[in-house]
Amino acid sequence: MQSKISLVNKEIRKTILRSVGWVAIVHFLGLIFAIPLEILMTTTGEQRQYIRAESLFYFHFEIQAVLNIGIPVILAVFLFRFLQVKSYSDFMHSLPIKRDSLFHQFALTGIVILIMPVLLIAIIVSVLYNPLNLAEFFTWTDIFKWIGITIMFNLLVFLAGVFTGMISGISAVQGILTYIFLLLPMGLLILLGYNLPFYLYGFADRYVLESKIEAFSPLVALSQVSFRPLGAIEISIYCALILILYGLSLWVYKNRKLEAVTQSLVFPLLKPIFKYGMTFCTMLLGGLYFGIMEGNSTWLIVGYVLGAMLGYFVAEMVLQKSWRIIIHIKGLIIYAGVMALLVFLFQFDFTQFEKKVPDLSEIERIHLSDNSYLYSDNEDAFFLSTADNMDLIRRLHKDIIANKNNNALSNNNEHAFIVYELKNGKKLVRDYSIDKKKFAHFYKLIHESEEYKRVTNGIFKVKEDQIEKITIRPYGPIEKKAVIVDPIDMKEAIAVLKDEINASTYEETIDNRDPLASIEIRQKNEKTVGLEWRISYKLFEEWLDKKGLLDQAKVTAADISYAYIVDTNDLEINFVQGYSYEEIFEQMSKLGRAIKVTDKKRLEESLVNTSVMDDGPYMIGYYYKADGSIEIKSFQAENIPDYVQQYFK
Amino acid sequence: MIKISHIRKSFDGLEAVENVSLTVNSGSIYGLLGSNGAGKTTLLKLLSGLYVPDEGLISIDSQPVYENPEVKEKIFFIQDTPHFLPHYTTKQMAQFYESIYPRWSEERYQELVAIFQVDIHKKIHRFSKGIQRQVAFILALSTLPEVLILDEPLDGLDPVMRKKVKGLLIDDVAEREMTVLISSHNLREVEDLCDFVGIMHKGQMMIEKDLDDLKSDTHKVQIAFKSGAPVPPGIFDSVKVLHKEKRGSILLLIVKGKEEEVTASIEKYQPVIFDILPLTLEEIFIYEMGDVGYAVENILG
Repeated sequence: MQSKISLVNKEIRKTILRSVGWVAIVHFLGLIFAIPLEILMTTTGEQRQYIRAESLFYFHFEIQAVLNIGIPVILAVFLFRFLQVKSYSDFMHSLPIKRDSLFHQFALTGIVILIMPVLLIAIIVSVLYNPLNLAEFFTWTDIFKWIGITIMFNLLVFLAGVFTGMISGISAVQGILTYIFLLLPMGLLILLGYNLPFYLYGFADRYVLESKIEAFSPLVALSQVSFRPLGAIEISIYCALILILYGLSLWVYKNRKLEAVTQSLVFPLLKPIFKYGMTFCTMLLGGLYFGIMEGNSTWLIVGYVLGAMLGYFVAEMVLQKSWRIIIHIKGLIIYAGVMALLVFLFQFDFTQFEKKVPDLSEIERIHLSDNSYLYSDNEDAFFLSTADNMDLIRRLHKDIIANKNNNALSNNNEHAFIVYELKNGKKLVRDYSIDKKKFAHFYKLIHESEEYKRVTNGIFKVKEDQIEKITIRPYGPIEKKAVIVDPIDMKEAIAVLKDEINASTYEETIDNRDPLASIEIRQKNEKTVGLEWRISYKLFEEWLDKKGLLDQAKVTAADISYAYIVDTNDLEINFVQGYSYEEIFEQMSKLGRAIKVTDKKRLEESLVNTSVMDDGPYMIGYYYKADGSIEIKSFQAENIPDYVQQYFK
Repeated sequence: MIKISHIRKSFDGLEAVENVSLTVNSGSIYGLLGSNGAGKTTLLKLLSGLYVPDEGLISIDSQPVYENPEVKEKIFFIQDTPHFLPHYTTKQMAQFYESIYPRWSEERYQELVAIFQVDIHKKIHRFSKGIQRQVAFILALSTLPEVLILDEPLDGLDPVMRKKVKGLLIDDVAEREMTVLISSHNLREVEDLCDFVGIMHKGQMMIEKDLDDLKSDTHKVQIAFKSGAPVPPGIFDSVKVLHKEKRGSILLLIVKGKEEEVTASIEKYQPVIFDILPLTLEEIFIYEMGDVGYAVENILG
């Protein structure tokens, strides 16, 4: 006899619509409110001019995100309710329908229910497009992009919900597990990222956490889609995941045992994975909260112990479906043993992570800087590739590793961030917090090399025939500037500046005295290049003087009426609540122990020896002639003029 | 024909059904008896293709049931509490089944609705438990099942309804050769319905019997001889005695065998009193099963 059950049974479809049709209605109404209604309201009135829409995601994106996150899971939970209620499950499965067919009918009808509202909204927006002249805000392509991305995320979240429905026997667990499942990859990365530096010396946590980890969680990715566009790889991975989850759910469903209904996890194999996975995650979270916030290893261990215990007990509660549980302490002890062994192995660097420094022959080029931002968020990150420099960096790296314990002891806030790009296409990334002074001999050789100067200073990339003008703006509250427009002068200026950079020593480049001015080289068709006029650039000063630009290019004693120099300790500065220059200057003027400087020479001397940092032992307050502006700076220990030393002795 | 051989099923390490074999011929009514937790429901769900057995084979008309729509079209399982799709009326449920069971008979459905006088436009979940059960019967019988599997079906029905349902079952068995498997914790409830009964205890099948044979072959005999005369020993050899008991001068025997043969062989000894009486099914089981019988006595009560 021919089976009456084809792929689509009208009555089953009716049943599905009767039970979850409301989800589609809520979805549709939510979207109506978020998009077409908002478009109608804002584009027809005066507000129109304030609309900065670039895509359909602009309109009430929060509501769209909530719908995208909520609706598919609600749908998955209610759609597969028949798997989670014992009598319902027995009812459905006693029908003469194969599980494949049952699954396809429910999942596919669910997908249609999910997509329909999105398509309807797109149609409504299309109808409004010409009458409201929406082309001003977005194109037809934007509408299609919106359809595609919204449907993709809806399907992905929906199928994640379907999949967890297959492995769980309780609707509530299904819902919660779906969100855990969608957040887990990113959450785990973050937790590991923060915890690994404790075990792997040199692990580049900030680099890892700054790179696109949002993409690892579809939920986070979808909540950022209005400002962070998706890449092609991301889209193809999500689409592949949709297909994989569909297939996997079907396979799991076919192997699901009906008697496991009402159990948190249907497959016994998953129970330990869930239990210890949860214990591991909360352990890392505990370590993160207590250890990293408090910053010492005792709290770190306390955090691990508390976190692991909490996670273990909560997992047991979920699995035993009661808060009054029998605690299987044995499992926790075994877990603790395994973790202890793992930490022990890390001490011996069993992964060879810490010791690894690539051979010179393997390296293509190296990036070395203080901050991972200079590499990851930068299109023109710089690289060193001469054998000398690469070898120096390797030696610096080895020296840092050799001094691991010293480095860890001192509280450093300077970083050595190293990326080796290898010839085989792989990367080796390390990040160390160090005291750069202790490794200054390496830094000096590297930073003084011709290559380093060339790749780190934009001026070497300037195309001389493209230069429009050079503007020199003095640092300070003053409205003057020197502008060079004569092509010959500009060429000369660039040449002098290049010489200055080439001649400068490492010590001069890390000089913490404020530069005299900022120099902007504007090019016609190329990027504007900026650099600083450092105190050490004497030749450039001479050149400016020769051209009669010196007075305009920097703050001179002539710009200042007078200045007070005081001992920093005599001042009452509220660093926490903030302070104004005026308040401090007021205090300075009232202090008995203060030098009032009016002498031009002394003012000149001060101007080249101070910095805006407020942590020097002596502070100086300048009173500007032009408009009475005040500027507060300080002398760092190594740059204190003799007369100041004398006075405060 | 239903054939179950050496079935084993355990849940979380607890054996719910242990090595059970069972055969039910077409057109017969099989009563599956046992106290709560004996494994009856599990066995029925295994047979309905809901559970996969850990071991053993289940077939209906030589075909496996699990994930086999062709077989499942011919069977209908009514759960101990019948389930209906949420907020459905009887009419909607009928449409649903009609689209799924190819043998659905609209005529039979109308007939049954008339018999039970159920309002088919009312949502089923608003009905009382008893009426919900009647709706389940209406729908089940309308699919014209070859095999009907009923889990505690008579619970919650009043005596009039019980009689009606039993009558309908017997009619279908007689007319269409329907096979019925019915579970109960009460022997009396089903003794007038079943051809065969099996008693399950702690996951095992303890005993399986053809009721007609049992009833006609087991007798209670009361005999007494002239005062003081000893009981002739030969009497125990001529009939198969399951149980004997002396109450004063009266000897009470439970014997097996055809009534005429028993009468003939006892009358040879010329007793002064001789009565041959029928046994209740309950008594038969208790005597038949010996020691185990007492252990499961309450199942049968």
